[in-house]
Amino acid sequence: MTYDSLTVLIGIIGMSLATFLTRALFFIYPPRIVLRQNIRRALNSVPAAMLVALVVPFTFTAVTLNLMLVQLACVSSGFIAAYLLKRPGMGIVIALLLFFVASSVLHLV
Amino acid sequence: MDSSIKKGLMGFLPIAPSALFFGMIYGYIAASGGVSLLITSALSMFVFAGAAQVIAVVFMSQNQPMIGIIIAVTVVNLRHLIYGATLHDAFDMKWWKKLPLAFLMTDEVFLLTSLARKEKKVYDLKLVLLASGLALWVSFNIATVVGYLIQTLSNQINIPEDLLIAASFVGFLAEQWRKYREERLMISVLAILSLILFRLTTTTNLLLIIMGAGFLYTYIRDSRFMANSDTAIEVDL
Repeated sequence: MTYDSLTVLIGIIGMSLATFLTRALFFIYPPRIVLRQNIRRALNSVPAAMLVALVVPFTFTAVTLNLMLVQLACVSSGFIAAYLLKRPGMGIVIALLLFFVASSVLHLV
Repeated sequence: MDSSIKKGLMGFLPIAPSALFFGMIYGYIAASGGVSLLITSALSMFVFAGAAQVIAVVFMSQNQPMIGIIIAVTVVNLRHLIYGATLHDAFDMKWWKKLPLAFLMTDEVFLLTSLARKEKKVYDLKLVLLASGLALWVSFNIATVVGYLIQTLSNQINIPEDLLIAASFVGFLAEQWRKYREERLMISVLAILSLILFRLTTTTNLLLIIMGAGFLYTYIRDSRFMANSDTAIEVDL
């Protein structure tokens, strides 16, 4: 890395401002269209959509088929446990617990 | 302790391993690329946007033009515009009081605040956001330094990062599935769409596509429902 101090300082300030603006802009001054009822209801569905985009692809990105199947089993078990026990936190507990057991038995990683 | 603060902190617990792990990975990547600890920590303190920071240190280690790095970080963070628009009416306060909340509104904090908003019990969302956001900020910054310092040992971490991310959020997905039956069809459709697309595009693009598809699906569904409701009322009259 061969930047001078001023460039680095400008870079950090620039990245900080850019990130902050994307978070603050519509949070403070939303476009008028956002105030419509069906738009607001549609925006309420965004968290569920985001969860799908975080859970589903990352379950299937393992490099080997064995690891992918184990990950699928772990994440599915986490889903079922969290659903049945009505505790979101149980999802990660069960998924990782199963992974530790599976990886020690199958020597996955 | 205030129930809203407790809600924020308890909501943060399941995602804490993911945040710590990601912070450590970020610190490790920065150290590997020859980025100084000062710059690495400064990015975690002031930018506070995990995926964008990873891109920034990777580009910086390749001596890319700084303006290009700033643009890349901005594009990766564009999804935050949707978060702000989604939550803007949940906070009835002066604009300048929203500024610190906006700084803390990462993916995880947005999610936790949105979920708290949808619950029957009424929470002070400002406190939920502050508690979960500060907990995440402190954890992420500590993890950054730890990851940087143990760079040579980090290859012993043997939980796949992808599994950690999926496991961190699967409980919240189950909660959505259980509580909001009307969203089950949308979740199923989006899951299939994710499976089709995830090898064809980047994670950031996929996130934007799926969020956009979820938004459109609900918009079209509700618009049709509202149109049908209007028709029914006219017939009754």
